[in-house]
Amino acid sequence: MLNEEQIIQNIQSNIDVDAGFRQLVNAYKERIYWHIRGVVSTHEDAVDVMQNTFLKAYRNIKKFNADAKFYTWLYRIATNESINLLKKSNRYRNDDSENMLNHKEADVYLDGDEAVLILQRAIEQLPHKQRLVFNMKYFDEMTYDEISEILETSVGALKASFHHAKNKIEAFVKQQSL
Amino acid sequence: MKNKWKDPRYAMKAPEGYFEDFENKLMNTIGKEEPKLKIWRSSWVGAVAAVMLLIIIVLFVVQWNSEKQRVDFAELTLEENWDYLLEYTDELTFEDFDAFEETEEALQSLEQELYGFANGEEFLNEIDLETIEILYE
Repeated sequence: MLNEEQIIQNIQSNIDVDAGFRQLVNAYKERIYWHIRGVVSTHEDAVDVMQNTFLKAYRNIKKFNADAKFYTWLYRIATNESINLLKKSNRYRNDDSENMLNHKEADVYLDGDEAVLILQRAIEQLPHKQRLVFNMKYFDEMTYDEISEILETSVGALKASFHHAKNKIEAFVKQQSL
Repeated sequence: MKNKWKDPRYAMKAPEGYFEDFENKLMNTIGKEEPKLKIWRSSWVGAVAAVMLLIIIVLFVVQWNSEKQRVDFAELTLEENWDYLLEYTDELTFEDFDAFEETEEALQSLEQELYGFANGEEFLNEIDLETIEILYE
């Protein structure tokens, strides 16, 4: 069984390209899906972004620098594609959390009790950048260095974003619990 | 399917079978895209070949015309050559001058030969009186 590095080397040398890429897709599809879904919210949007993300990865994998981490590179493509979709649909604004929540409540692929929904609403009312940082740190358990590489933002700025996001969520949850 | 990485994330779920079928759908899309690239590549190669062919044809025609111009000198009379030279003095090349000079020299030597032969005693001796009478009639 080839490891990820060998698979990528083979693809870059035109050896078993499709079979190798299939293995990479299989390894990352779920993580990438949930990352995308955390940004664009609905499954329908996530499907489009998923396809674009992996198509872009396939077309550009020969340019991928083998010294970097593959999943970091993939996350970056997914993040950019997600933001592009929000921009195209005019949802990439900080003051549209109400709109996003309405969108989400209409999502049939949503499941959960009241506490989870409160947490969800709390996250949804965050500005996009803070939401991204919070998701990657809290749910994806990434290090600040990894997030910094993906979002091309300094570690200091990321720490500040995460801190603000956490405070806002705590305040929101407390308010809802009263 | 539930979010197996971190289900608490928005309590979201994906439709059943979405992940199982994902690679197949993706690879099908990739497979459909590739022939387009090949067609684009072949048409691009075809366009380059057409341009190259056009360049070769243009070069051939230009070369053929310049060759034709040089040959024309020999076909013209001396007077026509002089007219041409006076009219297109600025456009002529050294090669044109050489060609013209060679033609002129050839014509002059031909004239000299003819006149020399006509003036010679051998020519007069060979003409009989009957021929002269016919000429004067």
